[in-house]
Amino acid sequence: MIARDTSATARTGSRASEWTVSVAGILVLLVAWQLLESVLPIPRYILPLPTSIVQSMVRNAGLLLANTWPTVIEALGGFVVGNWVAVGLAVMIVWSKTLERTVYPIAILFRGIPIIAIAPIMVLWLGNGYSSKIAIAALISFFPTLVNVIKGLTSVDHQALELLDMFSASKSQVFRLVRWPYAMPYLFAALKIATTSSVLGAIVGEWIGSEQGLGYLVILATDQYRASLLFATLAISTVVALVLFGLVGAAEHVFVRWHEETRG
Amino acid sequence: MESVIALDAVTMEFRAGRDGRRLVLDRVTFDARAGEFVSIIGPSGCGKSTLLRIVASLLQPTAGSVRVLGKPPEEAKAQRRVGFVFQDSLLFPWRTVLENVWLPFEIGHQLSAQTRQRAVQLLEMVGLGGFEHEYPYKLSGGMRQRAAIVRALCLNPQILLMDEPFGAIDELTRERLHLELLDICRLENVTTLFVTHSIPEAVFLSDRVVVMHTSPGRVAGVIDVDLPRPRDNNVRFAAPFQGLAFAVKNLLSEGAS
Repeated sequence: MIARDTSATARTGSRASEWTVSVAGILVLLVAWQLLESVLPIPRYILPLPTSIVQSMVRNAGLLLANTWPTVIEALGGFVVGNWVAVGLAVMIVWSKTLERTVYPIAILFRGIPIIAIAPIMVLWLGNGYSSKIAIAALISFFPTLVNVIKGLTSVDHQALELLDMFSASKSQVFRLVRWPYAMPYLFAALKIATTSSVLGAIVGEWIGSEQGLGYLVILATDQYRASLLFATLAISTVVALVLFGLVGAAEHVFVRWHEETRG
Repeated sequence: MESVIALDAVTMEFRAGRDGRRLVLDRVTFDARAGEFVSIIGPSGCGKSTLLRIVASLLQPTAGSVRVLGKPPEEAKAQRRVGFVFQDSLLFPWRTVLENVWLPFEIGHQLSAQTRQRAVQLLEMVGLGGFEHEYPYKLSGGMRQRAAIVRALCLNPQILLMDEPFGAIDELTRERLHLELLDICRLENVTTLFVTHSIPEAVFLSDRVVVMHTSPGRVAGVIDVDLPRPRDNNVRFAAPFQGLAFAVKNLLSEGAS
């Protein structure tokens, strides 16, 4: 117990200093950007100063906020729908050999279609509202999760399956007691990818056709040569993706604690 | 005495390559009587683990007959009369030691105060009292394997099948585990089939040692170990033990040429 406690403290300690270093790195980059641009002859409408991006953020706070919520809703909606369907399908595919041979190849086939090419079709079918963007965000987060969860569910140690066989475990017990826990680290790895890609999907969807959202704001700011607003929008999009990423990381910490400890 | 495990001309072929077949076990015949401790020793690839899996009904032989407790092995397994201890302890890292040990009860919908008590008692018997609520990563290799043995025993099986369970454990711990295992087998009154590639381990534990040769896997001979029980670690240094170990070694090396 004692040994463990000290190592845990050491770990949090080093994590805190890692954070400090990372934040310091970003700050140095921003300061260097600001200083270099003051010296070099770069037009401000091409690359605005960090300070003017912050100013724009404050000035356009209302506009930015009003356009952030639609993107958050679309990204979250797509994240939930896409991953939910992916996990369900992964379980079905691993459960049934027939589905593996029929559904999985179709899924792989669809994976080959570039998402940018699907986006206009979604807008055509589902209109300019939320649903088309949710569909795009869902599609984009779907495949990594499907592939990863299938991999996780089938990564189970062969001897572990023999062990459950010795206890005459049913197929659903094998899934619940062994396959599912084994797949959890794989699922969370995929969910982390899906956080950023679902924001990407929502923004791409907004480019194709929308009157609101951060993607719409990107197009608007570009058309009007408002570089500071464009960069401010980018910054907000990044924050949205990072917050989602952080939430998934926190959930992973709660649900797959054993995985960290076994490795650690 | 009646045979608890009886193998008659058990043959196993695996498909190898496109249409090749590989003979893994060639007409293996031997038996184990009630309460007996039988070791199977042989070089890697002699099919000893395959043989254990056939007795456990995890694999079906290509030919030959297997009877476990006078029944087909799948029946013995379905009635949960057979415990299996693997090379790896296979304790699930997301479950505590106790939760791992009562897994068979959970699967059989038998979790009750009584069965929990059985799991705790068995853990105490192997010296794991106080570790019930720890996670496996905190246990040493020897402790994990003890927990794995307890998990195999908690359903009161009549047969215990062990597949090189101490292969990855240091020698001093292994010798202590040998003594504990002999105690457990006597107390729980099980018939044990123990796969190993260690000659001293086979001789120390067993009533009989089945020596196997490879390519294809076959029984080279069976050596009776008539050392008195209970055995302690001093037995290992006495002449009769050395003689038996030498006999096993000679029989093994006949097939190595």
